[in-house]
Amino acid sequence: MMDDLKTRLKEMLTSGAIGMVIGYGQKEIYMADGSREYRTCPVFLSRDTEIDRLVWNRHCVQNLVTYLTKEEYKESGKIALMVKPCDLKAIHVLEQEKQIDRKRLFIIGLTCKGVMAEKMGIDEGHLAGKCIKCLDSSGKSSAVCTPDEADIVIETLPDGDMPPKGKDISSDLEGFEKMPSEKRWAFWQNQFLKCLRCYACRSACPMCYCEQCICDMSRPQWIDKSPHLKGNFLFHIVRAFHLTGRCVGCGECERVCPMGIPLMLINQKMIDTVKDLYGYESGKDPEQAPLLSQFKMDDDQSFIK
Amino acid sequence: MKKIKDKPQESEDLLLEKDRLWQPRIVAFLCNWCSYAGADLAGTSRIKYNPQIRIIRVPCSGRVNPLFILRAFIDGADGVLVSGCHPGDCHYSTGNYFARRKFALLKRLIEFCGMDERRIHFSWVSAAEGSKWSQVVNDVVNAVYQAGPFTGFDLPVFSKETEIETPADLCKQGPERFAYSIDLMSRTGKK
Repeated sequence: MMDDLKTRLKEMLTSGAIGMVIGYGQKEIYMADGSREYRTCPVFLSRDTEIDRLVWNRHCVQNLVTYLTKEEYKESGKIALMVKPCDLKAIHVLEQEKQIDRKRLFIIGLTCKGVMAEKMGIDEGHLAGKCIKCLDSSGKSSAVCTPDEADIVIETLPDGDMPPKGKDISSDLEGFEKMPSEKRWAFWQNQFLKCLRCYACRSACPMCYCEQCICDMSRPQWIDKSPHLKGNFLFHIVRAFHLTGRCVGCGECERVCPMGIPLMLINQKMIDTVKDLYGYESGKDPEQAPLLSQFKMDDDQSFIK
Repeated sequence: MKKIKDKPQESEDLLLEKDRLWQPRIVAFLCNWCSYAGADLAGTSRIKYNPQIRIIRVPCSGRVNPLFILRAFIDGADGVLVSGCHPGDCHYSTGNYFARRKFALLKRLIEFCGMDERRIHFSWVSAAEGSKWSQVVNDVVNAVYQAGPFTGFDLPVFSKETEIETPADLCKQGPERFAYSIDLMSRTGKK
């Protein structure tokens, strides 16, 4: 199946039907002890001779939709993109917000059976947090996600046995919410104090595409730029709020965070809140109106005096 | 990992003194067409209410960016009140409906982060509700008064045993520990 895909992509690249392939490829890494390891990373291929680098395995955890809104790829013609079923939700949100043109996109849908959790390039040896939810929703742990509305579907599944499940974020969330509010504040104080303001979370997020981020503005400067507690707190709350009703829970922000801040805890809370209050699920349908640009007459107002 | 020690105990007299001197600082965002006029009515009707509130007039409750609320806390407010027209009465027809969604989500978000729910308030006050306005303000001031001064952005007090001696030790202990030491050195003025 992969071979068919590669032949087809080569043809498309030579004929100029697509300008670039963004997919998963392998990279050789030299370790400190002299040994070599292979890591799966995003690759950007614009020549047909490079197509053989594409792979599909359990380490394809990255969400490649992020690259679609980056300036460099806006002008590169039609893009063929390797998309897992969960990443498709991010495409829906971008379509909904009129950020991408679906006609400029050739979606290579991957049939997925869960990918491995990875933290800063290190394999954690269990399923990624997002997969647990995805696989549970279809009732059985060995479920297979199939992408619909892809232009071409790869039915090959990654080799190997099912990796063990990791910890489920919703149980973390439950425990966290039981803590008294001072403890919760102290927890986030400690987490946000670690933040270096490297903005890796912002770069990795498929939804953070603003040309000028509010965090970069200096006139007026709403959010302090130096990494101290006030600025960090504001940055993280604003980041979470800007993703409310848009976050699709791909977990990229947490995966790329060099300081290990559990950003998915806060994102998952907002995903649950939005579902609870408004029955809204982001990325479900590209046609639906964004959460905050619509309202219902009977929205909850029990908190308003 | 970092530990937060309890705040140092202050003597009872000092606490009482502080208690007496401290007045809550509350920022109120009022919509021009209803709540601001309501507050105006309360004034012209000579209704007395607590004076610890600072009013900022905005065109509509829909104009209140959640960032305003957060920024108020950063800049030293102890509580925030946002007030607008009743649903259906908005001068711009639907501004407060959109605002309602934003506020509901913001409230959930910052309460999840551990903000005291007594510090953030929302209300609908119409131009004819001068007495409701005074009631709302009194309630808010009481609630914030009970919650006490907002110290959420003060640096946590680290306990002695977690302090680290030299930067070389820090590097051995991984990035998490290192970040903590930077905090310690640059922020708490470590000797």
